[in-house]
Amino acid sequence: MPDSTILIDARGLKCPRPIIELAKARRQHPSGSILRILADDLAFESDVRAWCDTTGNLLVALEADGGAIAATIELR
Amino acid sequence: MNKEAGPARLAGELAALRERVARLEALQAETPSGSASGGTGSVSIVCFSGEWDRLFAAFTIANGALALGQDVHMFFTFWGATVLRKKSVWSGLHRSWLQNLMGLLLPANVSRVPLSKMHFGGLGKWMMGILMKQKGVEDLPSLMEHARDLGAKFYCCDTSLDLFG
Repeated sequence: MPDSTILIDARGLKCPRPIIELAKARRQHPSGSILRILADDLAFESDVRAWCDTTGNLLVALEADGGAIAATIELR
Repeated sequence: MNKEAGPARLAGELAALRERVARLEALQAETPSGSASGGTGSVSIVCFSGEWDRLFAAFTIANGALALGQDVHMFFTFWGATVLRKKSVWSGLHRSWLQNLMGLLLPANVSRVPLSKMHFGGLGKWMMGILMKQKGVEDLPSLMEHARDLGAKFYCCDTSLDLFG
């Protein structure tokens, strides 16, 4: 993982908060930034896919990380 | 067959195609639904009710749409308008006693609004608050805050404000 990766820890936060955090990060960081978000909300996996599809950002990886799900996203 | 004709024709076609792509790109850039944020369309919500659970649903939908890059407009009217109230010591001065009484009987701000069911004089809402905190669910004031941060437009009905202060 490159040093410039933006980390968001959304563990313990319930829907729709993880997606709100993504949207806020999207506004703060330029295109090309790599974002890694950790969340354990049950809806997160489908939410993050839908978010990337709708907003045109690239879902690079989606994997289990401990009890949470880690999504790596390239902002477009 | 002329050796130059093939490449020249191809170059001509390529130039025409390039021009066409540029035109389409310009057209796409002008279309609001294809904006850089990826947003598609907009959502408008009318908040008529002043109850905590109903407003919670409205703000959850608003935040979801905002997160997906959509424009959100929320219109607060009648009981819904009371959640935008902010009490100040001066607010009573320019109103009639009836308006002041009305203001006194209504929730002072968003954290004071009741549940539509199982409120039980505040006991139900207190229990709900504890459960939400335990489960890490966002409360109503912070959902409002997020919606505002993400650029939701709030509109308040002036007539309702006149009635409720």
